[in-house]
Amino acid sequence: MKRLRGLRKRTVVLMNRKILRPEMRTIQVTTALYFTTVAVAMVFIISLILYKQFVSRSEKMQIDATNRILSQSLINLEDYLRSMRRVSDTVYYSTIKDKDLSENGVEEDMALLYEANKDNLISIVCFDADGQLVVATPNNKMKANAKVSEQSWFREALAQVENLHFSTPHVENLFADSSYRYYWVLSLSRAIELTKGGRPEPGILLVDMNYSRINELLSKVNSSGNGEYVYLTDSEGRIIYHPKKRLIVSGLYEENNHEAVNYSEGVTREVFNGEERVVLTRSVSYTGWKLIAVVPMSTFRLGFRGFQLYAVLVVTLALLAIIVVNQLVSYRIALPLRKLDRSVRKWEAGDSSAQIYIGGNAEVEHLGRTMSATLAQLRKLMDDIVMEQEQKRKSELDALQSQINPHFLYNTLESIVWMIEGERYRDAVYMVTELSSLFRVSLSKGKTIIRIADEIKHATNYMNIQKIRYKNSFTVDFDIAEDIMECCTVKLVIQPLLENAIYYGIEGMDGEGEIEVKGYRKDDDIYLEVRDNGVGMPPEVVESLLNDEGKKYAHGSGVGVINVHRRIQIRFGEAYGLEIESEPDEGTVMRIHLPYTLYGSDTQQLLEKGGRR
Amino acid sequence: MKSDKIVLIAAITILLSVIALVSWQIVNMGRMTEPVKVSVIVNNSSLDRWTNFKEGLKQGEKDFDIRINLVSTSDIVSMANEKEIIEKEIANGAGALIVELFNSYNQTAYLENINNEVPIVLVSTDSSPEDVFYSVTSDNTSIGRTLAMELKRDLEGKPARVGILAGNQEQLSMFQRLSGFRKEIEGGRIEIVWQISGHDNSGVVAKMMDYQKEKHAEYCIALGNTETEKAIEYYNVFGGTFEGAVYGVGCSEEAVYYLDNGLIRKLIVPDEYDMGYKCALSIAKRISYITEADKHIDTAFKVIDGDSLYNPENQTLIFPEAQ
Repeated sequence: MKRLRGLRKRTVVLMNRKILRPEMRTIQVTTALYFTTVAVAMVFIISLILYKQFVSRSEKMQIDATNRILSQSLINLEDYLRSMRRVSDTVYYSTIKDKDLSENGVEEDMALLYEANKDNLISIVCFDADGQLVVATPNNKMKANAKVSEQSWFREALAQVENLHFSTPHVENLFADSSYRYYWVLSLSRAIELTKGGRPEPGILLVDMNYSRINELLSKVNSSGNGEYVYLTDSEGRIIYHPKKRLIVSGLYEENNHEAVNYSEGVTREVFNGEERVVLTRSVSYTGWKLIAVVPMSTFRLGFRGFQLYAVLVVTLALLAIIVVNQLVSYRIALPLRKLDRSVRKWEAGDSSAQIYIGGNAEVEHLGRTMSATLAQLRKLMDDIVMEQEQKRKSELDALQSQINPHFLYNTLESIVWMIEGERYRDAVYMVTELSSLFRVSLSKGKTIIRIADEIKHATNYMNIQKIRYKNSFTVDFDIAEDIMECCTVKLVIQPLLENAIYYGIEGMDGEGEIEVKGYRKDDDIYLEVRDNGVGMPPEVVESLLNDEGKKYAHGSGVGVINVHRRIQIRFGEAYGLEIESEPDEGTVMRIHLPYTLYGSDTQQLLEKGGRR
Repeated sequence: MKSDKIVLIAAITILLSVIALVSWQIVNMGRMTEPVKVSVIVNNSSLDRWTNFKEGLKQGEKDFDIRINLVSTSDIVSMANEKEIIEKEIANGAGALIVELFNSYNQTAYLENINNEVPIVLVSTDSSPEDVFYSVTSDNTSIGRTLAMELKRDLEGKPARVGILAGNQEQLSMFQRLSGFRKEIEGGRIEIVWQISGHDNSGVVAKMMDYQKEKHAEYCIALGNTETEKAIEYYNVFGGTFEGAVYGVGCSEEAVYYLDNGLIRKLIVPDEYDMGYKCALSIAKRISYITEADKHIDTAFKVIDGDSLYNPENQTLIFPEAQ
């Protein structure tokens, strides 16, 4: 029970999530679902219409078949009754009429006629108007207690002399049969004129027809056993023949005979005892009898069992075929879209080289083309943006580089002027030479990326000039590992640090200042350190040096060490840049962190364009 | 995506199952189910007293889709003889049995044994104790009482001496008829001067003659069809030695003939067609395991005399149509 509930819950959830939410479905499933729904609905509607038509046609066919059987039965029955009337006519007109029965015996003629029809007859009898036996064949030994004049066939014949009268079936009870045989008969009676002793007098001619002939005749019709049956009533609806007559008498079966006898000839639909039936009625000539065929509607359904099974099989196969074909069709329809979707997903996943699928039918192809064009445009826009950014960065770099301490140039030139005025030409020449070398490296033919060796040379030029300016009040020591000399660096990164060491470290100290420039490789990284033994900095100053706050500590040119840090990061990435360690009264270490990249024209150009290793 | 595939696979599975099921039904539709063979064992099956009964069985065969096999029997002389016939029928593939018991007593164990294998319905007479097995009979006690009542009515209080042909008293039905008759005349002016019982009818007429010589009876009471025919035989052999007439039970044409000619004053006619039809109905229900079937089914009987013999309703009751 619990598992069942769980299963039900899961099914409901599945229905809600997946089936009832079309936005969750793929286009293939949606297409297949809609196609299948429409096709299934059509199959059902067509099947229903065909089934209804088939049922209606089958009903009509069965009714027609029953009608034919009924007509044939009617013909046979009327033939039989006609032959019986003919017997009666022959007996009367050829044997009895115009013969004086007191003079001429008619027994022989009647016996001959009986012999000729004995399969259909039980007896031929002639009575006078008082019911006294005149002549009879084959048995003329009447029962002592036979009350002829009280019998209905006798009374009816006397009452309507012009007609032939057919009775309902009864057991013949006129003659004693020593073999204990009793016969069911239908009495055909008529009023006749007898001649006795030359005097005409009324009489009754009785032809007792063998009921078993009618029984046989109609039983054959009813032997199909498929539920439909034929029965016979007189004009008042009293049953003459019915396949279940005995059950009707016992009350074990009911028939709607008294209603059916009043139905007009043809087909009538009725509901009897809760059962829907088709009733076909035909009149039997000269008798007033009705031959009635009953076709219960259930018999139609009985014969449909096979058809229904075949119909279910065909519909199920059709549904299966529809589902499979719809799957294939929807797959074919959805395939270009799926390909397009896959290519877009690839692009979404970051594969910028992914090609957008262009193919399938016109709409999808158009979509693919449009998307492809859009992406190409997007790519171009992105490239433009990157280029623009690069330009901007370059401009920024140039701007930063152009900010290198014009103050330093002014002071240096002033120092040279002083030297010339003091006739210290040699020193002036040296200083101009160093300055010239410094600017050569600064310019570097417009390159931003230079060898570390050139950068060190630039730093050396700068420190040589500064040492003259500061009258050798500090010492400088360069310790650069040889293996990094040919590596790449952003130009003019050491000079600002040296400047910083001079201005902040050495300038205000009492003793001799020491500045050490050290370069070394550690794994794939290069470190360039500028260490001084100056006054050092408090931690908050160190912290602010690498953000915009650092600008307020900038000296002279107004360019802080932050510029060094940014320039390195712009070229080599966020992982690189400047690190500062400082202790007040102890000194400061500024460490440049660079990737180990050997200098070459390709590498230089790549880094120049903003590309990274 | 996964759930869509599950739904698709489920739909295809359901459709394939339907196709398999329907195909199986179509294949099996062609195979006609053989109706169960029901063997009917009654004493002297060729006697015309069974004509209406056979007609009823035949109608039941059509209506209830069974196959009736009326076993051709002569005079069953003992229960052993009947058991032999029953076992032979079972061995020959009878799926159900309708049996007129020769002996109603001490057969419970035997019948139960059969009933476990092959459904059985007793006809004409029940076993003793009653209502253990399915049965279709007339109310035999009532038949006996009715015979007595009819005699009393005709006597209009006058005394009468009667001889009784009681037939096979090992059959509960005959015993009940006799008991019913005796009970009804108890304390009245009707005296039973002789009674002949037993299944062997070969010496009955001679015995009747002897008894008549010894203790003369004015009326003969015949409790069964065979007994009624024996009374007729006695009449035909020895002439009118009964001042009164025969009051009998039966439905054969001979019995009816002598009712018609006045030898038999009153004849109780059990509705044998009804009995045959209801036997078929009862056994069909047993075969189909329909448990709400009545264990005992009573069938009607009618008192007929010469005047009412040809009433339309009585004609249908007495005279078989298919001749």
